[in-house]
Amino acid sequence: MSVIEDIARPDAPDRWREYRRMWATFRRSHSAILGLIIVSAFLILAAIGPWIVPFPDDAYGAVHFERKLQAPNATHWFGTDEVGLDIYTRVIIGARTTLWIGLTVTGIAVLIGVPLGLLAGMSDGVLREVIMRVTDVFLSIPGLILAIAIVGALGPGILNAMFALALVWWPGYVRLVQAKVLSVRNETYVEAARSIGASRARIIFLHVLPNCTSPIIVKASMDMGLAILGAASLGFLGLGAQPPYPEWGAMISIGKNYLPDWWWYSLFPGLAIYLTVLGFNLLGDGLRDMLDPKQR
Amino acid sequence: MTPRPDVVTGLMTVDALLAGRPDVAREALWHMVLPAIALSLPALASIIRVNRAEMIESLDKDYILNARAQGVGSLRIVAAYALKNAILPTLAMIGLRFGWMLGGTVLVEGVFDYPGLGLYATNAAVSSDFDPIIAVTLVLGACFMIVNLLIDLAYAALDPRVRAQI
Amino acid sequence: MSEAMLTLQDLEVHFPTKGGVVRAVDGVSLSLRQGEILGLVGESGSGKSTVGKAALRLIDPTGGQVLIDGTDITTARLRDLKPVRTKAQLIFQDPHSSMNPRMTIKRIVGEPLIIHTAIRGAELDQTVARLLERVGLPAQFLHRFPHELSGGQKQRVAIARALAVDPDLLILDEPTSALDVSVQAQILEFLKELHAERPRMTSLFISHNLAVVRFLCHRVAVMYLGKIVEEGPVAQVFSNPQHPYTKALLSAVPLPEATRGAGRIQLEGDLPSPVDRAQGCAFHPRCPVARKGLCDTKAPPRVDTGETWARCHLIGETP
Ligand SMILES: Nc1ncnc2c1ncn2[C@@H]1O[C@H](COP(=O)(O)OP(=O)(O)OP(=O)(O)O)[C@@H](O)[C@H]1O
Ligand SMILES: [Mg+2]
Repeated sequence: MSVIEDIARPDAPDRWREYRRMWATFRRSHSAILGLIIVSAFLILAAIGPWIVPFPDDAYGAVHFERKLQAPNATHWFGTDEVGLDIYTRVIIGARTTLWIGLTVTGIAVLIGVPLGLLAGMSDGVLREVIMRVTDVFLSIPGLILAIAIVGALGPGILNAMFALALVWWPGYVRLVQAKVLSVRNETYVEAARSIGASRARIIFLHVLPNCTSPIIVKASMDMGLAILGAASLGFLGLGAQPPYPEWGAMISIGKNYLPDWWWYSLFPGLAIYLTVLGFNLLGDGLRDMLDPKQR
Repeated sequence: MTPRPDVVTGLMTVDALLAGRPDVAREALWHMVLPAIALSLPALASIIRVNRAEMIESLDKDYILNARAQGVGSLRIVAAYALKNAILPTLAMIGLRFGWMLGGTVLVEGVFDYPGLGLYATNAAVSSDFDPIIAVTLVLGACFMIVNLLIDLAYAALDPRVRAQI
Repeated sequence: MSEAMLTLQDLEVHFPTKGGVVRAVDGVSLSLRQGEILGLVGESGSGKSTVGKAALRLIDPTGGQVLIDGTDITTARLRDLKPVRTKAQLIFQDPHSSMNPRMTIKRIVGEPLIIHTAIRGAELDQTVARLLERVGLPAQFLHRFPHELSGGQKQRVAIARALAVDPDLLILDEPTSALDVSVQAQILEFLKELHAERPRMTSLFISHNLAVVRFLCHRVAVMYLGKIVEEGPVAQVFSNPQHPYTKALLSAVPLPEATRGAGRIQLEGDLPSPVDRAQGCAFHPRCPVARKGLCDTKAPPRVDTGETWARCHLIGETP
């Protein structure tokens, strides 16, 4: 119970000093700042998208054959698609879908992977073996293939795609956390905590876990980008979001049939995916330099 | 389109050569160029990145300085001393990237309409036809494991410390 | 020895490893009376730290018994060890790595209090500040992180953490070997004062610095390859060492009483691995006076020589 109490009472002024120092490191890297800007822009667009788009009705599908496949112009900045929907609107609204996919997939992966990794790292013998071998089995099949197999079993659709991606993603966290726990739990300060009589829970949550968070945060940031890419891939293959749902991968999936004459159809969603994934990757790189400089 | 040569191995280029049709083989190869580039570029980038970081690190070590001081030539230092140490993490990255590439084939085949295992699995998944998916998953999983085994063996061959553990 | 604070009885710690069983501690018996400071000396790898950790059950002994203040803790369950943790504390060799890098000094020193007492909030802060003051650190260190402190300051913090629960037994594992000489002297002075203030305070002082042991300790035990080879009051052992290993150790340091012997005795070779242990006396391969047919076949007996004792076949035979 005191464990919880302690977590709720962090040493605020000291932490701030530490954060300022980290920020100074982060700021030194141009690419990290670029990543932060892209990710912030993406988050803002996702938040206010529905209120700034010119054709909100186009987001979830309507039909305007009279203005189909128009090249980018003053009214339709990114052009229109084969049923006359405004691609600019759909790309902006797509940011929401994408954010929601990224957060869910990464979130579930962290929620499954981190506790299992902690458990495998802190326990010896059978339990560790079981967890790690199951993890190995998952990791021995390339991620996207496994996701396709799972979607194949469940049927195409955005929810199933997210579920499949989350199922593919957690083993990475088990590996990461287990390896980190194994090194942290042999640190002298963990032995010191035992010598002052700290309970198992206290050692795990106050001494081991906080010293494992940096690589978890870095991986989560990178994985946001990768999960988005994965969901877009499934959408592109027709296994994820189904048109006319505003999802970038699904838009490209149809748009590619209109290449190269109607290039804007797949170009703009493609750029959106590219920028978002790039942003999360640069951000993750910057966080890594900031949080654990040794681990490159 | 030139007619397909007799199927012997199932590999278009090889079959064409066996049938004495280098022109067909060339065309088949030509169709692979773009997908191959698309697949290899991302892997190329991260492999270069890892190798560069490792090279910089190992060129900074004392034994390299020592070798320089003893008059070992620059090329020899880079190739024989530094690369030998940098190659291990690079190999690990190649293994990791190979898995990604296997996943990437699915997409690339989708983009180029290249009739490979990936496209086969995708079409099966879209129509919820489960058996082909399992087959493709197993085949690609086996490929991945074999490549990783090869990389582990290469590791052991290159690093005496790893060799001692086996 | 009625009031033994720490008793080790035939303590054994064997580590199974791939290369064979490492007998890090192989039958160590020691007893520390209340108020006593016992120095445990020996080469690197002789098993000193392992003794210290096993005495607090940070490592589980594979044999023998550990009694703290009369309570047998050898087989106690982890949960039942909690009271023991307020009685006995360990101070580590490297103060830096013994502190959680993400905690402030306030939390590091306060943690034992949070675990063992109901003190919280402002009272906790005050208690921690008082503890820091006691080890000679101003209260402004409360909000620092370990990496913002010097080595000596960190070791003071480690001592403050150990003193937080008011222990009667301190196990100090080379607490000053990571510090420079002047800081080392301050810490040693502090420990001496601490013992003067508190008559119950008992310390097991692990060190390979004989000068420090001579300054601080009442008795000394010499360890070689997991076994105690000689033990006795510091004055006697240092002025009249019995075991050839003790003689060799003492001859290597310029101590006032050790200068009378036949000059420096050079030990040949390194400490052998505790895995492939020699037959007979563990020291015989490096012993300058070892006798064939005796030292390499039979384990040496324990020979009492007044207040000290040693484990050697040749005691009393040749000067
Ligand atoms: N967990 C372990 N597993 C295997 N062997 C170990 C383990 N811990 C210690 N040892 C071995 O036990 C022996 C004694 O180690 P210990 O740390 O007690 O020595 P020490 O006397 O404290 O040395 P130092 O003066 O260097 O601190 C060494 O040979 C060491 O390699
Ligand atoms: Mg030690």
